[in-house]
Amino acid sequence: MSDWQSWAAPAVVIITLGILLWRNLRPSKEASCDEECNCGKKE
Amino acid sequence: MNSPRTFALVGNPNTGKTTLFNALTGLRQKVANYPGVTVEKKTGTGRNRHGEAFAVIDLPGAYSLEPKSPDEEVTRAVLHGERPDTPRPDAVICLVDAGNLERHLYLATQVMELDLPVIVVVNKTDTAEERGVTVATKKLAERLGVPVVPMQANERVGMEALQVALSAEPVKANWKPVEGDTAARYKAIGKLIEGAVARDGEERLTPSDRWDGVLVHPVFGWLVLLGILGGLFFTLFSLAGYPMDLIDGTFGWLSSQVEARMADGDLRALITEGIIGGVGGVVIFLPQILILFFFIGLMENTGYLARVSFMMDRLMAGVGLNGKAFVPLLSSYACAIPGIMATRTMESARDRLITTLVAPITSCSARLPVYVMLIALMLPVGTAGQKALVMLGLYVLSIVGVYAFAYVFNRTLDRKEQTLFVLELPAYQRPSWREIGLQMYDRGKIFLRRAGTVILGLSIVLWALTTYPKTDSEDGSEQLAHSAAGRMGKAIEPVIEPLGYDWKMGIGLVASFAAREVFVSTMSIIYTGEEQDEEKTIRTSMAAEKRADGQPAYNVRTCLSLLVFYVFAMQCLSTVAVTRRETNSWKWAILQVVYLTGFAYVAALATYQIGGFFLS
Repeated sequence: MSDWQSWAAPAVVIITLGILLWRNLRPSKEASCDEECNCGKKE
Repeated sequence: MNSPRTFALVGNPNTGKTTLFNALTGLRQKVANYPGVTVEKKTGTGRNRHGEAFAVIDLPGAYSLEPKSPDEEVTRAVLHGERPDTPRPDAVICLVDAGNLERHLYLATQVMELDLPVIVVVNKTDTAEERGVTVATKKLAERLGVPVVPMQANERVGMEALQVALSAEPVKANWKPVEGDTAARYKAIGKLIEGAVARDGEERLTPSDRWDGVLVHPVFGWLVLLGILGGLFFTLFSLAGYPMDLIDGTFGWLSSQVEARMADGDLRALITEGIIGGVGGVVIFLPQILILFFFIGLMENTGYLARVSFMMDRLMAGVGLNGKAFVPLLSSYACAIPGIMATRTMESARDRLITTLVAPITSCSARLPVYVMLIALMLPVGTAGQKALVMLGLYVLSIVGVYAFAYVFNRTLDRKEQTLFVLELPAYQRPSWREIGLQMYDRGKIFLRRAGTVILGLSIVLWALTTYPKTDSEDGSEQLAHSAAGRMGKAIEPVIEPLGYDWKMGIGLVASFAAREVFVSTMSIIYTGEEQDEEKTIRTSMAAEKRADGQPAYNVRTCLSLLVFYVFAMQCLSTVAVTRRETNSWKWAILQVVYLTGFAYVAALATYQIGGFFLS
């Protein structure tokens, strides 16, 4: 069992959680147009 | 340096505006054969014969400058220079259909009265000629004093002449504003085209008319549609297997490489179970997504989808909606978000609201991985034909759901206005493989981007929830039960037990409230983490899962109940956000979540309990 991995894994999780929250809570250009569904193409 | 000249592209829906826009700007964009596809304003740049850049704004299709829907209002406002986000165009390219010149000139002549220079493009001259209609464009150009260009935009015929017109100094039309009503305008248009449009007298049946005799037939039309859908789902199960095995093998290889190179530990487990297991569990469905969009693209591109819309109109009328609702609902089969946004093409605010409320019931592509996984578990030795039949049943169930709830909302919401549905059936055409390929590429890219961002993030978080807090036990099941997700699953187990679900499925249900396909990645994480025997795949682990009484956890009853739950449940946070914006109210967004999830629960409960009488 590798010791450094036992803190590295939670660190990755916390960073991911932070990114997810930031992506969803930041003020976006068009709040509800989900670019993943390709409806928010703006030139 | 002068800013480039801006041309606005204006025309009735389905005149080939989008195709011309693509030809002029080279920008990729969806081309559809049914009215109302251009909802958003789109801009691009092109170059004229002198190499000078010009800008093109593709305005939403409109029948007149007296707007009846939000997107027609956009067209009117841009042409009047009333939109702060868009400068008034320097000139307008008016697209008219050669086969319906009189009606299309209704809008074109209104544009000519706006004191803007105009170029008239008479499109689809080939299909008009098939019908025995020829337009003397030179005569029209002489009368109007502006360039009138005959074109077949889909074949790029006439582009050279249009480029010449775009390179010259734009001029205003020699057209006197019409005083009076619609009849007066049609009278003036009649005078304008007098002697410029020749018909050969006999009403000809074009190949499209002959095809329509079968494809929109009240009986054969539906049989053909069911046959096409059956073929689609059969292909999904039969053909997609090979590339799916390849993807599965690639992710398995990746996982074994990480295991060979890293010492055992939490981070290795996060990478192999959380990241590779979670993302791989969803990416494996890429071939099926591509096949689905190949079929949709083919139907759209050949003009068949407009016929489906036409047939649906008869059914729509039964629940108080008109065929215009079909376009947003059809888009929702890809994703409810653009579908709900497409409701802007509808004139009645009430119809828009009803369509928005029922749109998430249509079986969007995010459900596909969930359906495929559960059907495979339900029919482990079933043939592709049997699996296709179940899939067809789920799609039919979603259509029935859309109609039933549209009917309920139609009866409960106040009726204020009645609108008329005008649908033009475009001529059938050979499919453009390039357009279909581009659409498949776009949808595949969106799917993979989603897997690499949202699904990846959620998979990592879910792995943590299924791993922490840790126990000293080496047993995967005990560890899962001890974890935060396990406790959450056990907490909701009493609520979902009557539906036939155990606490592990409960974890999947709760996790997939953000996005449906997360159910699949959650199951991958749970069963990869739990599985000690590396030879077993996720599917065999799930199939081998037993309840306390020794019965298989994923039996036919439970799988059916889960499938019914996923047909109706509102498990997509992005859709909630779009409903909130499009209706400008949290009330409707919350109602949508409550009624759909509540109904999903009741329907799944009924499926499981009634299934008990017939199935073990």
